[in-house]
Amino acid sequence: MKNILMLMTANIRKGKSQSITLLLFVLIATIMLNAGFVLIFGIGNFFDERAEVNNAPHFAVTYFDGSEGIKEGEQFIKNYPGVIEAEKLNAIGGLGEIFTNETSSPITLLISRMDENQKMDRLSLIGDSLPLTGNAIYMPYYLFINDNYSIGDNLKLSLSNVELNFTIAGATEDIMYGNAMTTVVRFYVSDIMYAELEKQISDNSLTLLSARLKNSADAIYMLADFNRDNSQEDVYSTWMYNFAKQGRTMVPLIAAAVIIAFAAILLVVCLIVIRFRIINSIEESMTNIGTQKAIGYKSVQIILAIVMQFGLITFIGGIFGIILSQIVIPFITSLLEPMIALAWQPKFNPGSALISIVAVLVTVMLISYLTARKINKLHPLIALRGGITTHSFKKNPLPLEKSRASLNFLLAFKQILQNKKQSVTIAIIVALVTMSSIIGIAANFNINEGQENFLRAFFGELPEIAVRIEETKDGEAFKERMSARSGVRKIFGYFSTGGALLIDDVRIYADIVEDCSLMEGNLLIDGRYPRHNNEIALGAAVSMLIGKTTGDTVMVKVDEISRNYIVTGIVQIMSNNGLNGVITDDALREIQPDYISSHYYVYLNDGVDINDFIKEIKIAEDDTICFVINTQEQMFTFLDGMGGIFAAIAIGMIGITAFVVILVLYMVIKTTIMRKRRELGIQKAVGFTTLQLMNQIALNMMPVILTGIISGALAGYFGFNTLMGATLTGFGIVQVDLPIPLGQIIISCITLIILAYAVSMLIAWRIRKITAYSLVSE
Amino acid sequence: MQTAILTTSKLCKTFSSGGLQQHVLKNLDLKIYQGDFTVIMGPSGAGKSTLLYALSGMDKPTLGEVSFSGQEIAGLSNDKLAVFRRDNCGFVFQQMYLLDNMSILDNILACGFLVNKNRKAVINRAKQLLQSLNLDETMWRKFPSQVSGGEAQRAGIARALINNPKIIFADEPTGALNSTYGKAVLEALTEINKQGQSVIMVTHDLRSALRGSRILYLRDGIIHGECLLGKYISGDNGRYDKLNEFLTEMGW
Repeated sequence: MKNILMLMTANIRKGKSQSITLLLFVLIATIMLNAGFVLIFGIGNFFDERAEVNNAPHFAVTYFDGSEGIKEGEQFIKNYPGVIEAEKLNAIGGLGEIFTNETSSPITLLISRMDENQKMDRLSLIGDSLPLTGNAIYMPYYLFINDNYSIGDNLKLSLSNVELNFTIAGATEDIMYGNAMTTVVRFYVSDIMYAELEKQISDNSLTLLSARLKNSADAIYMLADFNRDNSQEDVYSTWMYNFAKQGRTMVPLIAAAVIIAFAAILLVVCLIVIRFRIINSIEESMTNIGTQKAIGYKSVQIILAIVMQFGLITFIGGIFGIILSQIVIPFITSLLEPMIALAWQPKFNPGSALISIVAVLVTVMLISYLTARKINKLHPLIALRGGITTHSFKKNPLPLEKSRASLNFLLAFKQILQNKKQSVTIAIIVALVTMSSIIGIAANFNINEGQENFLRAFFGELPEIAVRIEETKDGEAFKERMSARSGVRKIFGYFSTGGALLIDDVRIYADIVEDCSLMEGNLLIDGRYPRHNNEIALGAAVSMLIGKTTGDTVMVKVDEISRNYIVTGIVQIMSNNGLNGVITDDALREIQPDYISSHYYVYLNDGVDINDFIKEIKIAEDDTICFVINTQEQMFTFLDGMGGIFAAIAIGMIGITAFVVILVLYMVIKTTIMRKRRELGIQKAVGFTTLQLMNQIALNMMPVILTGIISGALAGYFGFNTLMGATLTGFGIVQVDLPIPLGQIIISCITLIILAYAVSMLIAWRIRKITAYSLVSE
Repeated sequence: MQTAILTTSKLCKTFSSGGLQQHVLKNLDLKIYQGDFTVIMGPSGAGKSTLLYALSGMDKPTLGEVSFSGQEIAGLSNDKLAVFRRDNCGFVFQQMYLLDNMSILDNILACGFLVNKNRKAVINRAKQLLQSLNLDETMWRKFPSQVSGGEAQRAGIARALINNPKIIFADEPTGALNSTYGKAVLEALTEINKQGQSVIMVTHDLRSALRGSRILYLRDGIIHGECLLGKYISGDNGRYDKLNEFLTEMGW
C-alpha cells in the first residue's frame, strides 16, 4: 500500500496543473449535481413541511355570504371520506385591482382578519414585520418580493371600485393563496380594519370552507366530486392543495432537472478528460512504467496508483464542490423565490451530498480503471523501449510534396490527422459543452423572450382573459354581447376541470371546450381535436397508461353514466402529470347531461388594453360575471418568475462552456508543448518563428474546436426540443416544438470560436520560452 | 585575400547555475572566412559547441559581438534570429533532430517551403539533394525512425542545404554514427564545401577534423591555436601528420 501511495503522489506531483484542471471540472460538476439533487429532493418536502406546520387545507371553497350553497358545501365536506379536519372562516373578497408603480393589475382578492383561532393555513410571516394596527396589511410573500416592496410602503388596492390604501406591515407564506398561479390572493388586516372594510364594501363578504384530508393527493378527487355533486351557485372559488404545490414546485423541479442534466454532461467531460489524461500519461511515462515493472512493481499496483490518483483528486474536488454548493444553492433558491413564494433556505443535505460525491467518485474511478488496465498487457521490456506504439507513425497524411496549402496550415493539419484520438476527444468535449450552452440559450429565449410560443406549447390556450359567469345566467346571450363588444376577436366556452372524468378507470383532468376548431394553442401531437359527440382527445400520459391511441375507443365515465368515445387525437397539456384530455361541451353532456358551460376564454384584438377591457366588462356585465382573470398577465407573471432562473442557467451554461473550452485548450496545448518540446526546438533551429509555431498550434486546435462547436451547436439546435420533451415528460409533455434563436446561437458560436483561438494563442505563447539552443543544451 | 563571413569581437558566454558562474567563452576575437571548412576542436568542456551556437545565432552571447557579413546578429530578437538562421544557416546536429512525425522528404520540404515559395523548385531541389546524398526514392517516404542513423544524418544534411545557406554549422555530425555512415556524412560535407559553401564543424574526431581547411583549437574558452590544412585531398598523408603535430602541440 505504501508503494501505491508513493506512486500516486508522484503521479499527482508530476501533473500538477492538469490535476488542478481536473479538480475544477469535478468541483463544478459536484456543485451542480448537489444543487440539482437538493432542489429535487428538497422542494416538494419543504412545501409539504411548511404546509404541515401551517396546517394547510387540502381543499377549499369560497362562497358569497348568504348563499344557500354554504350549507350544502359544509355537508359535503363533513361527509366526504378521508376528511380529518374542517374549518369555516369569514373573508372579504372579489375581483379587484392592485396598483404598482402607476399601473394597475386585476387581482382576485381575499382579505382575512388576523384571527388567532384560524386553524388552517395559519398566518405565518416571513422576515421582518410590524403589528397589524391601523391600516397595516400583510401581503403574500411572492407579491412582496416580485414588486420589491418594503415594510412601511404603501399598498393601494381596489375592490368593487372602492379604493383601499394600506401600509405594508409584513409578508405571509400563505400555502393555499400565496403564489402567482393561485387564482385568489389572500391579504390579512386587523380586526378593526376588517370591520371597517365590511362596512365599506358590504357586498363582498365571503365564507371560506376548508378541509384537510387524510391523504392530500385525494384532493383532486374531492374537487371533482364537489364540482359534480354540488350546485356551483354562489361559489366564488375552489382551490386544492395539489394545485398550490404544483404551482410552486414545478419550475424549481424543471430547473433542477436542467441543472442535473448539465452536471451529467460536465461529468462526461470529466471522464473524457481523465481518459485522455491517463492515455497520455501512460505514453509519456512508458519508460517509467517499464522501470517500475522491471524492479518488481505489479501491474495492479501501477493501475491502482492511477485509479487512486484520480480518485483522490475527485474526492477533494467533490468535497470542495459540496462545500461551495452550500454557497451556490442559496443563490439558486433566491432566484427561485418568486416561484416558490416561500423563504426556502435549504440546509446541508447529507443524502444529496453523499449521492453527488459517490456518483462522481464511482464513475471517475471506474473510467480510470478501465483506461489504466491496458498497463496489464504492457510488457516491461516493450515499456522500457518506449512502447511499440509511441512513435510508430504508419501514415504520412498530407505529404507536403503533394498538398497545396500554406505550410503552417499543412503542418497543423498533419498533427490533427496524426492525433486522431486526441482530436476526436477534444471535439466531443467541446461539442458536449456547446450543446449544453445552446440548450441553455434556447430555454432562456423561450422563457424570457419568445414567451407566447412557450405558453402555447405547454399550457395550450392563451386568451387575453378568462371569464366565469353565474351558472344561472344565459351563456349564449353573454357570448353574443361579448362578441359584439369592440376589441373582441372571439369568445368560446373553455373549462379546465380536475378529476371529473374517468377514462378506462383513470381519472383525468379535462379541458372542456365548446368548439375545438376555435382553439389557437398547440396542444395536439397526433390526430385531431374532437368534433362530434362521441369523440375525445387523450393526454399523452393517459394514452400511454391505458395503451389507447388515435382511432381506439375508450370508456368515459362521469358519476354512474358511461359510454364509449373514439379517441381522435393525442394532446399534451402541462397539468396533472399528463393525465388529461380534451372533450367538447356537447360530448360531455352525453354522460353529464346537466353540464352548464359557465367559463369562457375571450380573445382580444391586438392593441386592446386588457386591463381597461376588464374594467369595462366588469361594469357592463356586473350582474353576470363571477370573476375575470387577466390570463396573459397571470401566465407572463408566472414565466417572469421562471425567467430569472433560466436566464441564470443560460448564463451559467455559456460561462461553463467558455471555462471548459479554455481549460481543455490549456490542458491539451500545454501537454502538446511539453511533448513536442523537441520538435518545437528543431523547428525553431531551422528558422520557424515563435508566431509561426503559435499559429501552428492554434491552427492545430481550431479545426477540432470548430468541429466541436459546430456539431455541439447542431446537436443543441436539433436536440433541444427532444431534450425538453424528455425533461418535461413527468409534467405531461412528450413532444416539444419550440423555436430556437438561430441568431443568438450563431453569435455564441462565433464568440466561442474567437475565444478559443485567442486562448489557444495565449496558451501557445509559452512557446517563446522554448529556444533552439535548449534543444542541444538539454 | 579571404573575406570574413563571420566575425566575433570580445565574445563572452557565461552560464550561471546555483549561484555559480561558469565563463565558457572568454573575449574571443575570431574570423570565419567564406568558403572555408573550419573545424573547431578542443577537450570536452572547452566551449566548442557553445561557440558554434553563438556564431550561428542559435544562442546569444553574454557579451561581445557577432557579425555575419558585416551585420551584427548578437543583439537580434529571437524571432529575427530565427529568420536569420533560415535565410543564412544550415545545421547538422549529432542527434540529427529530424521531426519524427514527418517523412524524410517532408522534413526537408518543411524547411524549404519556409523560405522559398516556389514549390516546384523546392521539391526538385530536395529530391536532387537526397539523390546526391545517396538517399534513393524508397527512403523519401519513410519516417526518421524507419531509417538508419547514417541515412537520417544525410537527410539532416539535405535539410541543412535545402535553402542554399551561406554557411553550414555541423555539431559532431558523425558522433552518433558508425565509421561507414560517418564517412558518408563527411564525404557529403566535403563535397558541399568544394562547391563553395562555408562549413563550420565541431568535432573531437581526428578523421573528421582532417576534412577541414582550417583547424581552431579551443581550450578554457580561448582559441589556443590554429592550423591551416588547405582544401581536403583524399590520401594526403602529410595532412594527417600536420594536424597530429598541431594537436600534440596543443596538448590533445
